[in-house]
Amino acid sequence: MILAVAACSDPTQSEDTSGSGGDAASGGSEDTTLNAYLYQPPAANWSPMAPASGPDGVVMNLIYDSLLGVDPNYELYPRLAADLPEISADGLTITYTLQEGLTWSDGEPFTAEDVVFTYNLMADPDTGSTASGRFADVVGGPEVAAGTADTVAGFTAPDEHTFQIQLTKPNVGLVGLTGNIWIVPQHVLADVPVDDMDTAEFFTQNPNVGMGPYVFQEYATDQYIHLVKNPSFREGEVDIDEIYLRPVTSDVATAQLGTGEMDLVQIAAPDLETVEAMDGIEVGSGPGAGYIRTSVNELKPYLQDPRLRQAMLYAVDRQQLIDEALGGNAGPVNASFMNAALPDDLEPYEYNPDRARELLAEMNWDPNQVVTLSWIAGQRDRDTAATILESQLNEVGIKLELNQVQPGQLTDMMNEQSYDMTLYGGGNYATEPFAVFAINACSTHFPAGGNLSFWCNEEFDQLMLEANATVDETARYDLYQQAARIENAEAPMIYLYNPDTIWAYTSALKGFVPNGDFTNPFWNVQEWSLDR
Amino acid sequence: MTAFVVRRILVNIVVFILIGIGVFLLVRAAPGDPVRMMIRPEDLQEGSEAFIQARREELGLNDPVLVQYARWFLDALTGNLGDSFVNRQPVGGLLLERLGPTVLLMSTALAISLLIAIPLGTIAAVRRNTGVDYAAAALSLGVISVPSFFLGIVAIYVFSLQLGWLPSAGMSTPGDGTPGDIVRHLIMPAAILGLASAGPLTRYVRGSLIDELSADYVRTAEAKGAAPVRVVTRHALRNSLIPLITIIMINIPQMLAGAVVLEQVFAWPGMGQLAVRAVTAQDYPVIVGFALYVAALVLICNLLADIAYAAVDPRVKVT
Repeated sequence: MILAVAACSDPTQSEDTSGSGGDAASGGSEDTTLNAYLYQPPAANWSPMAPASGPDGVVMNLIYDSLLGVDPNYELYPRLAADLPEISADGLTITYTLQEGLTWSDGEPFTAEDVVFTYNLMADPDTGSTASGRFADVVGGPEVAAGTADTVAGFTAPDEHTFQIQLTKPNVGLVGLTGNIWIVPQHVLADVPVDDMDTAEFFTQNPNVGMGPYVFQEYATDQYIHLVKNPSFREGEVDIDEIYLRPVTSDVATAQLGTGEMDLVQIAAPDLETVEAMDGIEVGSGPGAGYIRTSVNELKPYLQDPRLRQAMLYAVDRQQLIDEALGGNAGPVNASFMNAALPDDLEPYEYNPDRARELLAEMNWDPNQVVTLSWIAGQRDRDTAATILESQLNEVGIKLELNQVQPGQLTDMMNEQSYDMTLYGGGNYATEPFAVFAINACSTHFPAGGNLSFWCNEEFDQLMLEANATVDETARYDLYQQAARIENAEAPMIYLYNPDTIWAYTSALKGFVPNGDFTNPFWNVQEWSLDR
Repeated sequence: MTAFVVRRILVNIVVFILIGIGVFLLVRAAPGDPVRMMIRPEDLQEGSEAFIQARREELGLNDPVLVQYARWFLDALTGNLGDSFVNRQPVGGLLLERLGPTVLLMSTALAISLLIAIPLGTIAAVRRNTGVDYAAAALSLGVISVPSFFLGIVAIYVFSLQLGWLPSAGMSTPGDGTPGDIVRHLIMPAAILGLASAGPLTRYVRGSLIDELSADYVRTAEAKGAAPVRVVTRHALRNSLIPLITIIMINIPQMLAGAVVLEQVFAWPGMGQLAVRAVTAQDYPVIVGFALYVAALVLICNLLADIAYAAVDPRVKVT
């Protein structure tokens, strides 16, 4: 089998892979090594508390494990937990039962105390955690956030294999938003003072104890992160012995896929054709967890009428945008909600410039009013989106002007709430619908949250809060769907598209299931093998 | 001579400090907020603001800029350039671990550029206004005109993708890293960087040598019956290389600018990549640290050029 594959492959490829395997150095010709692309060099702070950094997240997904994971359908599944958590009927107690008999990569036993320890770190802003606000409904959470208590009373370990969260009010979304926190070893970190946690050597130099499928070996600055398989992994040793994560530009990564220097690469839609033409390369994709959108600043008097935003949605041929800028590798978006929280009777805002003109006439839109769209240029699909918005909005009588800005400028414009419209993307609304609250609620206007449209609808907020307090799943999703209908009708943003995450990989790699979350391509790495 | 050198060093120190003040103030005057940029807007949630305020306080960003500068300057005197805002590692260490790869890349490129420029410039000067001269001029102009990042991409396509001769990027093959392996990775970026500065250097060698060849002492040597090759190499070329020292010294900082770009293209783990990332993230301490490193390089190169010039050419007045 191995021979047959080797014989079929490109001669340069087999030459390079034998060199890159480091076989000569390690002496074991049976070693399998996977070279994977990292889209940026890491910040090199592998602390779950540190501000989110995509490339560091890829590493942490391999070296740490979490109670729950998220699969490519964006559904939660148990990892360190034996099952999904139980939520009490009153919604005030969340109980996780942990798998028994697990050990850390250094052989120490894994217990519920490690989980309590980690969740306490996450809830404490002194550790550098940016997520302490997530635990506002946990008993004692606000006290730790405010610095008046050291540990959260509501995090307990009734026995070695049970982790419990006590809440002051029901918060079902907490499971989806915090179940995938990477658990760190208490026995290694217990002596580090809380204030020094964000610069702890373990996190910045050598996070070599974990529960993940791989163990951190070395970071060669800006060159690669070397990982070797964890003998104590909960599902047993994985098949691929070593992984090198290598930060290079996407052009180089695509080229290296062709030379065999790289085995797994995330590619941009425009490169798809090139990659598909390569021999021995497979391509797969999954829908992303967030979406690209344009927020319309409703603090500006001339941008407050919902009919204006509806007109904008009708005026833009978003399917054309998806086809032109992304070669069709994206899905349409008409609300921030996804999957089960997305009703199927939403207004699709299909391209209809006449309807747009009607709406504008109805609201007496001033055709001389200039509207400025500010965005950080440099990503092909977003730049195309901006130019299409410009031409198609001008066509129906909205004078849109484009304004390319630097990241720092945009931050200032957000602080000053001075932009008319801004184009951006991201987020994760696919797993937990309550995540939408942070970008749409009256109480989450930037900078208190991520609501960059400064939209406020009290009925929407109430439905969201009620949904998050409803334990019954059917009733909960029904409430989310109601909220989605309000959002869809008022259109606080010009929804553009949900881009697919596209992966290209050597056909020698078996078991790879493409994940739309680009920070977690290795979600099922225990099922992978390399048959070179 | 000693007085000259001491005076120049003192002047350079003052200039260096002024550059430090300028860069320090400039990066802080730029729009944006390094702490706010750590969290993407769509990741903001209740509690993020508390983190942002706490981190600003911790990094001293709420103090007046002059207080921040004074604190930084006093630390810098002890060799401490502060910690990166992004990963909280000392700036000195971050720069130092990337210094090696950058120096290796630049020194190899410099050697390559001299190995090309001196012979080519000499031939062009001796055979001026012939086909060889025009070819050399076209070549020089070509490498000056084509941006090095483009040459880099073309080279990757040809030598890695099509011919499979050289690795496409990085400084070593993961798990290998033997000298031979590093040399293979070094060839393309160093050759392209060297080629880019060989262009102008060739023109300088040619121009300088033409001047010398028309000098009286060359005619004297020729009249005394010295072989033409000897006249050029032993007499004219040696003298023509004196101004070249200055050109090379001024070229080194320019070469660094080219290296910053090529390090991106070839994923070379040098200082350029660090600098580009620091600018994007508004990582003030790293930006200032890198700017000071470049400033030091420019000042030292200029100083060495002055001293070398004075030492080599007694006609330069050292007062």
